[in-house]
Amino acid sequence: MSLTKLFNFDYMFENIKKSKMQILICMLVVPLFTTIMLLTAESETYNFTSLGIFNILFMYVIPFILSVNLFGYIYKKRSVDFIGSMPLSRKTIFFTNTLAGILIILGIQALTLLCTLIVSTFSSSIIFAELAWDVFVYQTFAYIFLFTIANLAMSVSGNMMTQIVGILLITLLVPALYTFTYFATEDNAYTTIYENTTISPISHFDSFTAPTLILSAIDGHGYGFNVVSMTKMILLSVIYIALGYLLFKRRKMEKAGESFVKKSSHYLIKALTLIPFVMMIKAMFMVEEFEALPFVLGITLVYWFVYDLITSKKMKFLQNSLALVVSIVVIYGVLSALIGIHTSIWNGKIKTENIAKLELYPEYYSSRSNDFNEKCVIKDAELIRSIVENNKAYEGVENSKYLPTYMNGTVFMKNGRKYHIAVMVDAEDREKVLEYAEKQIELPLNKNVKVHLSSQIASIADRKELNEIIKNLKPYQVRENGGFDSYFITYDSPSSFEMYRNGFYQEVYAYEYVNHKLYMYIYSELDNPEIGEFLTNLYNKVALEQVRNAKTNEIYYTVRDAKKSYGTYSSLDVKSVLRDFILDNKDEKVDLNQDFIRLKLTFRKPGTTALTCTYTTNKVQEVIEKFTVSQNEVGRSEFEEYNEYFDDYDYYFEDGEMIYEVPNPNIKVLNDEEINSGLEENLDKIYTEQ
Amino acid sequence: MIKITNLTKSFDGKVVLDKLNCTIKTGTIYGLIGANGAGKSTLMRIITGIYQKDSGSVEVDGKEFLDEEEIKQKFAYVPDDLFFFKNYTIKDTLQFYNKIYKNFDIDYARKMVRTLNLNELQRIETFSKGMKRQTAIICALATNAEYMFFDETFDGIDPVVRNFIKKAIAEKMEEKGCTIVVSSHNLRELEDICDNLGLLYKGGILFESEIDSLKTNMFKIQISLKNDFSKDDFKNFNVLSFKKSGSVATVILEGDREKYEEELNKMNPVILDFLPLTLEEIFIYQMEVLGYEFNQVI
Repeated sequence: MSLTKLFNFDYMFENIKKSKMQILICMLVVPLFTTIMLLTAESETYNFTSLGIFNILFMYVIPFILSVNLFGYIYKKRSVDFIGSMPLSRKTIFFTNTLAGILIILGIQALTLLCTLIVSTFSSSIIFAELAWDVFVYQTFAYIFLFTIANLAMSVSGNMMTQIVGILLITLLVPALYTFTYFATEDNAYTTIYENTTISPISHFDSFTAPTLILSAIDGHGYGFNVVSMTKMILLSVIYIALGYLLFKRRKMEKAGESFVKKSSHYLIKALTLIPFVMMIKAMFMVEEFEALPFVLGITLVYWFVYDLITSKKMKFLQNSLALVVSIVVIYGVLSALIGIHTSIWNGKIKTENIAKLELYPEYYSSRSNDFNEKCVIKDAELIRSIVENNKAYEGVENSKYLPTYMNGTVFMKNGRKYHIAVMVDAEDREKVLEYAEKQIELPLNKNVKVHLSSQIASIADRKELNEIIKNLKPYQVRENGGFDSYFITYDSPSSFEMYRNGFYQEVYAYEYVNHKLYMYIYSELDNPEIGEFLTNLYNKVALEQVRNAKTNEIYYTVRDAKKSYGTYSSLDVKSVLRDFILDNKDEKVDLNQDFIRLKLTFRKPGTTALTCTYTTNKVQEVIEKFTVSQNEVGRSEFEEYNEYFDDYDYYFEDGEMIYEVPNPNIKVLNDEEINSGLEENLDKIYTEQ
Repeated sequence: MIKITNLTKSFDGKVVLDKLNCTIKTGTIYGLIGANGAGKSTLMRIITGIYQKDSGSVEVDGKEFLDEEEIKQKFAYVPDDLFFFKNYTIKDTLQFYNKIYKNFDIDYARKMVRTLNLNELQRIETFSKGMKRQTAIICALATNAEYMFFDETFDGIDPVVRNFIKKAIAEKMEEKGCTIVVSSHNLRELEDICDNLGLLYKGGILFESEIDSLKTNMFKIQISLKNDFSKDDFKNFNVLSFKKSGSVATVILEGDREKYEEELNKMNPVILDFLPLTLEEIFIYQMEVLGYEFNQVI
């Protein structure tokens, strides 16, 4: 078969030309949106989730619009004579239009990639060309996947409304069934060795196709460059193209404009769309909560009849009601069977000696300053046994001396089966795990880092200079950010300021792309004086410039020492003093080896984004004298103290109750009464004990 | 030549074409006549590959047609329900056809557009029904396709333009030797252009013939004899219809005109006039012979 018979480029050109406006909009919306996002949401990291909720929206809508514009008119009653009589075989029409869609999608993604790379040359956003390429590759296949589904749905349905139903069914039905079965099985699965361990079958959420991955990302599942997902999409796209062609070739054009050529297709589609309703019913039976059952049944009934009214404009009440009951019973039975099969696979007894390895994620509970976010792979049989046995011993948290720590992870059995687990470890075991992990961790540093500094603070040259400094430094914290766990990168704030001596210590975030993942490093001036020197000079320069240009009432500042925050000042007099002080000392060369004091400044001009930086000076005494009066006048609010208390300690919720996670066993856990009895007193007590 | 054998097509169980057999000879203008819903459009759509047949075969120049582009290049079809791309002007449309059809004559098309006073740069969707039809016909003629199909094409076109187009179709046929198939439910539309006619009725070709042959072999006379006479006096003739009013009878005869004229003169008629027959009249009498009421069929 020659390519010239498969594709007709003249027809392709004309087909695109006839819908040029719609296609042009499709071509431009993603690149433009991405560019605007990168330009306006400054200092963001560009990644798979940069478009947020628009990512999934565009992924569905653009391929759909392309399908409707390239294929839609073929299925319309008015145009079927026109296109059918053209000297083009159905094969040529189908494959030419499919290729056109794929080329347009490639164009969209290539344009997006180009815009991203152009923006990266001048924007302060963290844009790695490699990651942009990853996004290009993955998104291209994702869009093509959706496009082939839209075409397949069109071949089956031939009308826009049923095409939409078809697209949603093809993309979401299997993942929805899997997810439902998974969570239903999770409740039923049990194990005998971990008495107090939650255990669930390992999920395959990560191998879903793009639409489901993005949707599940809302719930915290990862979404990034995923080879399994991509391979699946490529294979499915090929299958859908082949299937779409066969259906298109056999399609009866006299049925143009009608949804589904065969009436039996309607019964099938209607039954398939009923599955989510039956899932709700099944879930109610599983949790034995029936209050909403009449409502769900009512909605199901209404849906069932509305579907008929829309598609066939007829309503046979008795016949349809009977069909509804039969459909619900059948689908309910199938769901129950699926859950049963899944449960029987996952239920079982786990023996310690059959565990090949444990993967634990200790990061959330570590009290160490040298924190890390890497999983810890434990193959040491002795450590595994210790964790398992200790875990078994903790039958109730109330009996333990100190709160044990939960560690999430995965247990790998020697027979290849995997389970999700959450084990409880005591302080001793935790230390062992952390020590063990520290030995294993190999930080993925290859020094191609990009610092994360707002363009309000740093110029391109500043960032380059800091990049060079950082290359030779060791970060004190590394976080893997490759999964892009949330829609918006969590670590996107400008350099944070933490308490440090007479002021705040400065740190800077930097990112590195390694093997399709983004790692975030935190460099602190505590470990690296070079960072402190660079940031101090940079921020002082910015502070001076801002003070010169800002009106007095646009300046806000915070003075904070190791124990107390003195709040944000609003007195214009104090602001004037501050302005004058900074201007008077514009030529000061700050020496961080000497005593210094640091102020946190915020400049908030109407209609612009607030700019935050520090101002550092060696004139400690002078600053304290200038501001003591004002500090005493303002004092601290109870709210600030309360916030400060929670800022410094981790806490989590269990059964709706707040549990304070106190990493250091020497620190006493405060109960509500103690907290309420006097915050100030308790805080002082804690600090004293420390 | 297009040869259709045992062609069957049904929609939702209703048979529209039932084992239809038909031959459309090359270089002719074939008129397809039939009542609304007789299956004329369906037949054209199957021949041109728009619809798929249920069974039977369509042979084009001796080769079975199965959606091949080479054969489709030989076809141009002007449907009853016209379609043009949204926002397209005549210029855009001609460019489209020029790219899709290998033998498209864009100069011819532009000349026709000018002759018919159509604005090449105006969007077609703003045209009247007649202007849209003219545009579609121009496009079809300019394809220089070997087989051109016009489905109820002359509807909505004023008489002057209609005659012009009929002339253009005839010229194109003469010039390129192409075959034209024109469908209509109105016999008068086809009379002055077609040289072959097929009558479609109840899913099959009820009657098929060359118009010249029909007109030559069938004629109407008005006759009066000296003595009283009846139909029995014409036993030697093939009488299709005999109506007597007073002493004058109007008789439709089928056969060799010269021979019949000689025989009739031997009867010493007082009056003997040979009158022309319209195609409609020919059909009416043919239908009567076949046992059908003309009004039922067309």
